[in-house]
Amino acid sequence: MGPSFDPVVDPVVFGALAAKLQAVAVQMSFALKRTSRSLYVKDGEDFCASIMGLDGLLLTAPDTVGSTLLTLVDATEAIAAVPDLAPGDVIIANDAHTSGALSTHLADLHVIEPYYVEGELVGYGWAFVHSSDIGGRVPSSISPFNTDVYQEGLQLPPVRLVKGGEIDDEIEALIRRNSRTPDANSADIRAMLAALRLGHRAVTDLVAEYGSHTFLAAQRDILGYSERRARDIFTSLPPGRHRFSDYLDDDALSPYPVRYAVALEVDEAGGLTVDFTGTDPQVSSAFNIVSKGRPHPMLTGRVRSSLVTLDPAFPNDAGQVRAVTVIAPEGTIVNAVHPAAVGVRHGSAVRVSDALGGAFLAMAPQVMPAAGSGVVVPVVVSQRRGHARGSQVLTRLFGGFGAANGLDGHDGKDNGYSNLASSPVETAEAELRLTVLDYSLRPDSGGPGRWRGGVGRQLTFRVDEDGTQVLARGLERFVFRPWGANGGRPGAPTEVIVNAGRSVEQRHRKIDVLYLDAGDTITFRTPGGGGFGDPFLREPASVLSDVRRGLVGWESARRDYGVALGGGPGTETIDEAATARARAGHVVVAGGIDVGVERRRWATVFTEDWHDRFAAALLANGVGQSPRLRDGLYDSVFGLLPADFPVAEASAEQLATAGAEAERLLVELESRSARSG
Amino acid sequence: MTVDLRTFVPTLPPVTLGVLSSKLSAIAVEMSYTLRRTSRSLYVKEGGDFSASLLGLDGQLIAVPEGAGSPMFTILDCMPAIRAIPDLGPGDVIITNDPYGTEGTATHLPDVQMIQPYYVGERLVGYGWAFVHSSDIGGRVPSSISPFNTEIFQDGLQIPPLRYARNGVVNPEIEAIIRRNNRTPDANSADFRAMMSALELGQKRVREIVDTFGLDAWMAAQEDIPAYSASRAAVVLSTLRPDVYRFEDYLDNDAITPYPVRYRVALTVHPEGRLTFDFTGTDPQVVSAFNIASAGKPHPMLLTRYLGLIITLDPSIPLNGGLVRPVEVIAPYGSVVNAARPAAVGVRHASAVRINDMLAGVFAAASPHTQAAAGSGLVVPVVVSERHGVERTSKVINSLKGGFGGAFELDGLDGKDNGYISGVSTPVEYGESEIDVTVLRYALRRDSGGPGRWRGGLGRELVFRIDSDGSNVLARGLERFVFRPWGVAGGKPAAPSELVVNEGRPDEARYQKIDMLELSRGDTVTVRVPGGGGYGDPFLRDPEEVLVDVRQDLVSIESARTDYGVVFVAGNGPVEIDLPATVALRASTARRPAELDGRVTYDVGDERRAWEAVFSPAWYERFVATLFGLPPAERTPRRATLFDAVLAVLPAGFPLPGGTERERQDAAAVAERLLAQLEADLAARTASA
Repeated sequence: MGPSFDPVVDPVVFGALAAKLQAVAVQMSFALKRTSRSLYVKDGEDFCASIMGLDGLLLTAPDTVGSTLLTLVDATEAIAAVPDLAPGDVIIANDAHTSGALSTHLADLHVIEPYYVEGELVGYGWAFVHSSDIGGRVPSSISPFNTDVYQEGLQLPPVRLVKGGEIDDEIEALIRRNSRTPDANSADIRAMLAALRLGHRAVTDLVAEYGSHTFLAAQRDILGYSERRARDIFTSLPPGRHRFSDYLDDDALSPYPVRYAVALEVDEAGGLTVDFTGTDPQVSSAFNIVSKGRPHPMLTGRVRSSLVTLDPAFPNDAGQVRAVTVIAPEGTIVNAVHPAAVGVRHGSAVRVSDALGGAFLAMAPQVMPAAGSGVVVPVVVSQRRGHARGSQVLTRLFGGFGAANGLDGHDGKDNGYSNLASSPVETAEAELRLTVLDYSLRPDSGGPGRWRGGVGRQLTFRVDEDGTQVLARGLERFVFRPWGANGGRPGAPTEVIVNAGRSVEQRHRKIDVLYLDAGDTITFRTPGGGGFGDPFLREPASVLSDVRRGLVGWESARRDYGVALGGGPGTETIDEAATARARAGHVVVAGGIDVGVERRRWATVFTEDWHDRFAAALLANGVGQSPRLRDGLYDSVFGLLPADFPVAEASAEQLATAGAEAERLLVELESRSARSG
Repeated sequence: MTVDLRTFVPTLPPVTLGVLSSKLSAIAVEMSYTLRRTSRSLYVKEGGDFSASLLGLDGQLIAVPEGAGSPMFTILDCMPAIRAIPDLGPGDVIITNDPYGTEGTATHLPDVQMIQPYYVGERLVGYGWAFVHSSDIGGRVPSSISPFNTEIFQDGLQIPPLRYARNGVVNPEIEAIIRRNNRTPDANSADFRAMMSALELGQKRVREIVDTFGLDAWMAAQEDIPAYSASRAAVVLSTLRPDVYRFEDYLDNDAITPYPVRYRVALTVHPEGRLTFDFTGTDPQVVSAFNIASAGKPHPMLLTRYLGLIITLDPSIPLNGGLVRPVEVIAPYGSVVNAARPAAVGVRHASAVRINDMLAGVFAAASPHTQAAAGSGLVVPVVVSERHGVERTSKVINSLKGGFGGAFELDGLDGKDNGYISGVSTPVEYGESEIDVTVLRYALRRDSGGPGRWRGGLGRELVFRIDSDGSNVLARGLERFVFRPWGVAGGKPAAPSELVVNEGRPDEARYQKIDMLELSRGDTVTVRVPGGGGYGDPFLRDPEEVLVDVRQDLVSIESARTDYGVVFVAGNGPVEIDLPATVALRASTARRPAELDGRVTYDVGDERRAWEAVFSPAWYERFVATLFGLPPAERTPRRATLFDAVLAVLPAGFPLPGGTERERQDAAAVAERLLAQLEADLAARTASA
């Protein structure tokens, strides 16, 4: 049954305070948004502001503005790191390692202000913004190709930016000097401080109205209530251990996939254990998550959204973390140690979310969707301005939502990371010398299914200035597709093409910095979500509608859905007889997950069990050695496989030989780690 | 109307002035030793890359710690860093490493500078100054410095002038941020504390001086000491022949683009011992880390060789900031010698070395017989970065230098450059005990000195083996693979650099400039740096001296014959000179004149002659002027486009293979046509604007 929930505060007062706190968070966030300067904040909604209780957990999250991604942050360690906090002080931090993983990459600047009312500490104000640039190797600070955190920009351990109400000029000067966008950053920091002040006034009013005793008791009740509710929901899930894994195509520096494995299990007290054992070691590139092994926004964000899926009225505070236990071995990519680069930690978080989605799907197949596109791609353009470079996010690309039982996936919107908004094309065109030629939904990208996966997006723009740099971190799913469920099929993989259709056309996968000249075009196509249910069971009328809207082509309608069409473009009709013929004799596929041909090929050589053992053996050899050992083993096995495996097909013999070699090398590695252990 | 610096009337009695001047130097030495003894990092302890001294109220050095640490910063201006912090008080310590924010007080990010205001009672009476080259200050690569950095943001943490300590107490938050942003926080913190100890010692000594001599004497000394040095400098400079002297020198490339970087100076020697260094004609700032953030001032990175000239002409001159007074500098904003933010500056010393070479060239003309030929023209700290668990450490095995240029009646020193006298060699044993490598060879490099009547000093060669997996080698400052250290007055240029991995093995690989070499256990790295240029006609070298060189294996028998015209007979015993053959060979060979039109001649080597046959100095002058007419964002791409088009009609790797005369003429025609077009574009644009 777990801890019982015995509210101290009168239910009416509790309800009123919870609602008022949420209103305060919304107000704070709007204040932040309206006074900020950078496009990340204004257009991208990559920020948040809210109120924390005395134990450093969020009491509420704004539901209509800003990012809800970080509802599960824990500021305890960041607060403890700054001794003698006094009224009017504000902590700033962006360093994951020294802030207890409050901030998860350097671009996110977090601020915390202790809220005192008449000398009594009653809570904390908190805000974060994704700053446009915090220095480091590349403009906008984030690149998958960074190999340690020193390349990623200025690291701020928790320090007092504001002391007794006054900004410390020297710390601000240091922050400004280490950013390519000092004015925007200073403006955004001041916007956060304004939000904190607003929050402080509101909290002061609440304490005046209800008394500090009630205000503090309500904090316990709010978190306790959502913990209780989370435990109730978890208890309703089927018992047993439910496991799933998913992959990044590669870590950008070495060509081999990165695996995330997760197992879910509910205990008798309704606690959910999320066990990442078997997940790959941390990587040399910037996909690492510093989580400190706790229920962390980057690890259990999908648990939070699943609670809301299972209970749409689930409260929006951090109490649920108390019902969740995370097991994430230190040195894995989901609990990385210093000085791992972390800039593209969301690339991992999206895939962790997909892995969790698969495990939840096994527990609640009637409710949970297939995989979403699994990519979040901020497209950043950097152009010369005088002696310097200016850089700006053109827009953030997402793919489609996974379909669920009874529900097509949303088009062009992912279920993993839907917190960020799209920037208007016109803003980018006004500020950068480029022309957007096409920004639309991508046909045939949604995974076919009785309920179709949402389609991805496509963006093509022309660069109008020589020496333009294009960065697009978060590009993924070139190899392993968003999986379909219950007979539904996977979504189409990602594509990046420079000068598509011209003689100088070039196809890329993950990019660091692309240098383009005036007249060059670049095209991004993101995946759709996975389908749900056998596509041959899809209503032909729905397929017709998809075709008329340009989301599904004729050929796909025929091949994937067994729907034959007549008529011409815009006047398509269903050819009933041909459709019946096409669908006759089809054996309906039900249950299971369709991971796509590439991952099936992969799993023939590298089985789930092999991967679990491999991860354990690498960790046993020490984090420092693992990239080299890992690459060395894969290099040997890949020598036996065709180039570009698993996108390229391999013969049964090649697969068998490679599998045997993988096993032999793993046994060797295991004995080596046994020796060194 | 400028004053004649030579007329100097001290306020203090000469004896007091002399005593105080010596005392201040002694204090600077004491401060520097204190810093060195309490520091932790190898750069400081073994590399000599640090300094500490006293500043007057004008922020200029009033003494230089001779014999301890680096004297390069004699003419450093610390005033911008001081002015950045209002309301300084006793016990405050400014910290900065920010080149652009301090108008060049800091010169690249690893050099962390500290300044402490000195008080006697309530009265501000001067400042203490110290710097260390820290092992790492964050950024893209371990040890922070790489030619391949493209912006100062990649060079590491930029610390604008801040108070590291207030009233004697370190600001824990500033300290925490700095620690967090470098890979060697403990070594850095120790070095910072060492600087603070040195600064505190300086404060104590200044109080003692004021106690002994009185405040008025101390304040007067701040005025008199630099003025005295300025007067002595002006006196020796007035012995130079008034005229305008021009010279240029090149970096092989900027590490990122393949085109040479050209430095140009016009030195005007004015009567009364004043000099104007006009760097107009120097290339625009580069995309890599070779830029100098000089703020267009007479800056240590531009004028090290000027200090060398003064010291050569007046060896006992007291060193201090007064030496800057006879000098005026013109350095166009946006050029590689006066870069605009955010240009990367990590390897600014490579530019400084080439500027030294170039100034040596004009000084050789302005002050005949006193100046050496070009030194090796590089300083190469060889850094090994190793994996220890998840962390990487990086340490300097050694800082390689090449030979000194030959000079009138003086062979060049072997394995020691005249450009950069600071930075001592680290004992091999230190490197081996701190780093998992084995040094297989560390020796003088045969035949690397430029032949001359007075031979250029030899370069060094270092061969080491990597003994652990996952080690990376960095060697910034590598240069002179293409353009050699030039010889003077008939002397010949020296051998170029070489960098070889696994030399003599089937997997041997040759490199020029490297970012980072990723190596495995058992790999060997060979670095060979050039010698100095020769001075005077090598065919006039005393054959007995050539014999000594050959017997010491500094010069080969082949080189003795072809370069020196000295023929040897090989026998069973030691080699002996074949005198008749030598006389005959020397008589029959045509040679380069020592002077032309009353000016000293230079032998810049075949590569540079080939380059300048295509891109003549006159052409280049117009080219740079045109580039500076363009908006900054267009300069680098337009420059690259033009070079690409011209180099396309030349053999790959030009000027290493120099091509035929016909090819060079064709290329020169293309260069002329494209430049004329660029000039026309610019003129049209200017007219429409």
